[in-house]
Amino acid sequence: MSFKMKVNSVVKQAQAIFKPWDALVYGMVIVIMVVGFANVRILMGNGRERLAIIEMDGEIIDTIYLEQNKIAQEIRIDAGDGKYNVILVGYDYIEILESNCPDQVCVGWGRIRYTGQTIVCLPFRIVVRIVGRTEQAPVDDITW
Amino acid sequence: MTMRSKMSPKKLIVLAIIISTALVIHYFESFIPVPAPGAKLGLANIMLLITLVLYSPYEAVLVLVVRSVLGSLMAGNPWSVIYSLSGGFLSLIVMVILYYKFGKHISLAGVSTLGAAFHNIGQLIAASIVFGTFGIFYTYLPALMLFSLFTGTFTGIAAHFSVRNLKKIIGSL
Repeated sequence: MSFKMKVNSVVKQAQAIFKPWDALVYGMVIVIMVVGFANVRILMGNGRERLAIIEMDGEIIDTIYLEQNKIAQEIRIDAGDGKYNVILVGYDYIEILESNCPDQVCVGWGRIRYTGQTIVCLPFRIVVRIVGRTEQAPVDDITW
Repeated sequence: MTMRSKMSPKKLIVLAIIISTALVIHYFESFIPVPAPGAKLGLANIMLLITLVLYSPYEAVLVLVVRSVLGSLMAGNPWSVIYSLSGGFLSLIVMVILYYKFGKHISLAGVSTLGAAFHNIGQLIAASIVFGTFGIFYTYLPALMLFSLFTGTFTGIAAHFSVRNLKKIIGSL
């Protein structure tokens, strides 16, 4: 059987299986896919890995990779003199759950999840921010 | 259930065979490695498509529920029935509409592809609710859509050829 005949028989078989409106179905799924991929790139900081950095008095006291833990974890931070913050790390977000600071601004801040967002607890001088992995990675070379 | 009283012994037997085949496929499918966690080949969907063609949506619902519940129990994780059913029902609704309303214009491969896509969407919605975040939804959806294009087409073609032969066999019983 020549190559052309082989191609013809494959085309015939495909014609027997597929029907015209299938193109619509495939088009729909591909559109969802493309829009989804574009969305992810915009929303997730160009596909970089994201880190949450917790700082106190300008010093980094904890870094957490987002989207690596399946179960939400709570981190308790003691700022001395009975001052504390409870930080909740979810799958792709981080928020301050509880604090005994006077103004409670950090608790009302809500969840942050994208590169560049921060939560500040001014009275205790605690800052939580999210950075992409490529910009100012707070970990030394050995860890990489 | 009125359905049960109407069911002929022949249909009962054929459905039992379909469900047990789907269960076996469902079980062995879990040993096949896939690139993305949470993604599945969805080969058991072949049996659901066959039920849709040979019988009606009612039988398909029966096959889906029994397969999902027993399959989840067999896999050792009863909670996965949430994902299995949420994806399964959304996918079944889509496939029923496509097959019975547009069956003249859309092939089984097309029906199965959109069914696979909506299976993934349903599962991701369930997962998003369980984990309490829609981040999984955004990040996972596109990859699963790409995956379902191939698995859905393959499943549909497999069902296409199975149905042709099964119709002959069941008709001659």
